[in-house]
Amino acid sequence: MTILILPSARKHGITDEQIRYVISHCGLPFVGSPPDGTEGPVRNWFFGDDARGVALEVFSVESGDERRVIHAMRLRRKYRHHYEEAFPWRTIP
Amino acid sequence: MADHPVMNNGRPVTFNGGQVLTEEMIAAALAEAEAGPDLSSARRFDVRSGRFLTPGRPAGGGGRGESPRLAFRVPADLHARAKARAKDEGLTLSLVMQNLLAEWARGALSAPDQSKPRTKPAAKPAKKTAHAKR
Repeated sequence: MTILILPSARKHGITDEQIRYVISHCGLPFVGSPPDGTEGPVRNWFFGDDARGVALEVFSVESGDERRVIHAMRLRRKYRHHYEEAFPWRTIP
Repeated sequence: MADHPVMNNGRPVTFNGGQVLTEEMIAAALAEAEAGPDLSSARRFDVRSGRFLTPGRPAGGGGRGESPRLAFRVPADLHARAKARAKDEGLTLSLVMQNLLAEWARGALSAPDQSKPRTKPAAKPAKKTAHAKR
């Protein structure tokens, strides 16, 4: 699947390299739908560390064989549980 | 006002087998992400198996295959402190222990030094016996 990183994903200072690292090592993304009553693509949340061990959250939408990353930032406290849940599932590409 | 389709190589990008992806949909998803949606109903996708996990109590330790149950004893005060911190951070002790164990198993954490003598409770004073009275 092709990963496209949109400019909005860099808004919080996270680099493309960090984003790709988190996605490629995440073995358990969380998949959601658009809010009720709206149309839109499937949402994916990736929680994990970058190569230096900084905990991050990465958000993307899927269309066909493309993954558009539109948001990335340091892990927010509210997603700590999801990060911990995904932790043992990390993969080595 | 008409929506603006996302284009790729001169063609509109589609999802769900035909719906056109629009810039407005991307903007809505971005606003949603920035706000931090509730993910309690999100499904978990196991990348290795390529399948979604079955809802319900997840299998422990990464969830692949069987998940043996571990039971061990800890001092009451340690249990209370660990439980309080886990609660404070929105975690469960089970998750914390799974992750600590995973880190130790891959060599990222050291086990306690077994060469040091373990602390034993102070020995109780010997009871006086009839023999000792003599």
